Amino acid sequence: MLLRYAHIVVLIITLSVTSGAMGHMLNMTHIDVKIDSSAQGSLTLNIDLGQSLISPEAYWDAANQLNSEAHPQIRYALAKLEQALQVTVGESPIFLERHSVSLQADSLSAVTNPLIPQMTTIRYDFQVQKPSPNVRVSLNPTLTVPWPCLVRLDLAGQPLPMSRVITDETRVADFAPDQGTLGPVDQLVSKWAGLAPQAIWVAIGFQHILPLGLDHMLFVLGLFFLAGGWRVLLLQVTCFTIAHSVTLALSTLKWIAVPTNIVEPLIALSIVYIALDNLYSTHLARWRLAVITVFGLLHGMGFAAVLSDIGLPKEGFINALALFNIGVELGQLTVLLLAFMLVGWWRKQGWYQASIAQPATVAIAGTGLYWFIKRAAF
Amino acid sequence: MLRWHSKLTPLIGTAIVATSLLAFDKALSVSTRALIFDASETAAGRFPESWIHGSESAMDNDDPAVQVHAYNAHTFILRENKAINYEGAFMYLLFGNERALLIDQGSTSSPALFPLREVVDEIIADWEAEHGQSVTLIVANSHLHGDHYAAWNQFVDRPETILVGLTHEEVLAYWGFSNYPEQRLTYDLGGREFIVTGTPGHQSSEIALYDTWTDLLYTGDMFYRGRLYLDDWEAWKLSILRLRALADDFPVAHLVNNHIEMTRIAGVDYPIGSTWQPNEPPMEMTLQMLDEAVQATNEITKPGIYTYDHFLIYNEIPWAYTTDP
Repeated sequence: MLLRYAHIVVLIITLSVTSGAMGHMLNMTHIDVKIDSSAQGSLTLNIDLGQSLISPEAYWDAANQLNSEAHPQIRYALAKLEQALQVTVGESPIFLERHSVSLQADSLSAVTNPLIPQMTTIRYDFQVQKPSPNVRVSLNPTLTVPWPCLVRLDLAGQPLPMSRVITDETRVADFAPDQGTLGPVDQLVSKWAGLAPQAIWVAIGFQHILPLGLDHMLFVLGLFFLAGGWRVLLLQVTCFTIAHSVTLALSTLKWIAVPTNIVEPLIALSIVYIALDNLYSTHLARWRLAVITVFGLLHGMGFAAVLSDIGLPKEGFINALALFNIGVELGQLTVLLLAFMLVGWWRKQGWYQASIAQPATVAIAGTGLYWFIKRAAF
Repeated sequence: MLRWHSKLTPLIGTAIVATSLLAFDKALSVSTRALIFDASETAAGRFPESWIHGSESAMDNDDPAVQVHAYNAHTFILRENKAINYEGAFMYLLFGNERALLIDQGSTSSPALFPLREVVDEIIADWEAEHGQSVTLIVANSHLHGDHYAAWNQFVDRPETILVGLTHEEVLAYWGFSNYPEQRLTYDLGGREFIVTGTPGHQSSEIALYDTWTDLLYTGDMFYRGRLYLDDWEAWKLSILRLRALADDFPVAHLVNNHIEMTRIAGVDYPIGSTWQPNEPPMEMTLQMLDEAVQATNEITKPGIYTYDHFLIYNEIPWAYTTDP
C-alpha cells in the first residue's frame, strides 16, 4: 500500500517536472568552460531564465530594458546563479568575473512557451592560479535549472573537449580522472598534465613506445641484439631516430601520406629483417645503417598514424608534435636501458650470443613474421 | 654472426615462433569469439505486437519504467515508460563478442524514476552468463538532445564502460569521422559490424547505424513515425538521400528509431505531450516510407509543416508550432 502511494507521488512529481521541459528538451542548460594555455579561462552559461528562475513576464520586461542586467529580477537571478555555481581547478576555487549578459527574447509568447527556448547567455572570465586537469563544476541544491545541464570543458593541451552532465540528482560535473581506474602510466600522464599542460605530449609519446608500441620496442631490441659494442648501437639508434622524426613530422603535417595498411605490414617486416640480419652479420655494415634509416622512415609514419587518431591540438601544434617526439625518444632509450639492465651486463661473455642474443633475436624475428602475416592477410 | 648448427636454424626457429603465435592467436579467437554474426544473411528478429504505450491516468500507471524487448538474442530494444516521460524514447542495446553498444539513455535522469543503469546491467549480466563472455559497454548517442542522454550520468561510474561523450568533437573522434557527415565508417562490436554515417538535419551531430547482421537501419530522430523537427533542411535532405543510398547498397530489413508520435490514421499525430497513445502504430518503418521522405526532399522548398502519411515534417519552424487542434 505504502509502495503504491509512493509510486503515485513519484509520478506526480515527474509530471510536474517534465511539463516544463517538453519538446525534446530544447531549453536544457549548457555550461561551456574553456581554459587556455596561458591559464586564462571563460565560462559561458546558457539558461532559459524565463522558464526557471524568474517569471516569463519579468524576463520579457527585462529584455526590453536598455540595460537588462540592471533589472531587479535579472539581478536576483544572477545572484542566485552565482551563489550556486562553483568551479574549482585542482584544489583551488575559481573566482568568476561576470563579463556579459545577453537575453534572447523574440516575444512574450515565445518566452512563455517552453517549446520556444529563449536563452540567456552569461559569460564569466577567470584566471587559474595553479593549472590542473582536475576541474569540477557544481550547482548547489538551492538552484533548479532546466535539466539536464550539459557541461563542456575545453582544456589547453587536450586534443578533445570533455563532457559531463549535471542533473537534479547529481550536482557535480567532475572532470578529475578517476585515479583508481588509471594505469600507472596514465596516472603519470595526469600528473604531468597538472604540472605543465603541454608536457602531456611527452607522456603520450613515451606511452607509444612503452607500453603500447610493442612493434617499435621489438625493432629497437633488434638493434640492441646485433653483435658489437655501444658505438654500433648508438649509430643504429641515431639513424633510426633521425629518420622516424622526419616522417613523423611530414606525415603529421600532412605533407606525405601512406596508407596504414601498407605501413603496418612493412613495419612488421622491418623487424623480421633486422632480427635475421643480426643472425647472419658479424659486424655493422654501412648498408645496414641505410636500411635502418629507411625503416626509421616507415616507423615514423606508424607513429604519425597513432598520433592522428589522438589528434594534436590546433593551439601549440608544433610544440605538441616536438614534445610527442621527445616522448618517443625517451621511450626508446628506456627500452634500451631496461634491456641493458636485464642482459646487457653479459654482452662480453662468450656464451652471451648463443644463449641470450640469438634465441632472443629468433623470438623477435618470429614475432615480426607473425605480425606481418596478421597485418598483411587479415 | 651465426654460431648455431646450421644456417637454416634461425629461419626454422623464426617460422616456429611465428606459427606458434598464429596458432595461439587462432585458438584464443575461437575461445573468445564464440558467436558468429554472419552478415551474409539477415538475422531473424521480431518486434512486439504493441509497445507499452502509457495509460489514460499516468498516476495509475504500474508498467515498468523501462520496457525491455529482445528483438533477438543479441539485440535488445528498450522503451521509456510514457507515463514517466511523454517522449517514450526507445533505446537500443546491441551485443557483439567484445562490446555492447547502448544507443541513447532516455529522457529522465533520476535513477529512482528511471533505473536505466539497473536494467542495462541486468541484461548484460544475463547475456554474459548465457554466452560465457564479458563485454565492455559503449554508451553512445544517436544525437545530442537532452531526451536522448538524460540518464547518461547513471553510467559514469560503471566499470568496463566507455562513454563516447556529449560534444560534437568527442562523437566524431569516437566513431572515427574525418569527413562528417558524408563518410561511411565500419564499426565492429566483436564480429558484429555496423556501418556508421552522419545524418545531421534534426541535430548537427546525429548519426545513423546500419547493423550488417540484423539488417536494421537505425535512424534516430531524423526519421521516425512522428514530427520530424528539422533545424537545417538542406542537411536533412542530404541525410535522407544518404540513408537511401545506404539502403541501395545494403539489404535493409526495417528502419528503427526513437519515438512514436503518429497515430494509425494517415497524417495524424498524437497531441504533443501525450502520455497515453492507445492503438499506436509500430515503431519500425519501411523502405517505402523512406522513399516517401525522399519524395518530400523534392517537394518541399520553404519552411512550414508538411503532412505525410507516416510522418510530419516541421521544416525550420519553431518547435512550438503544431497541428494540434
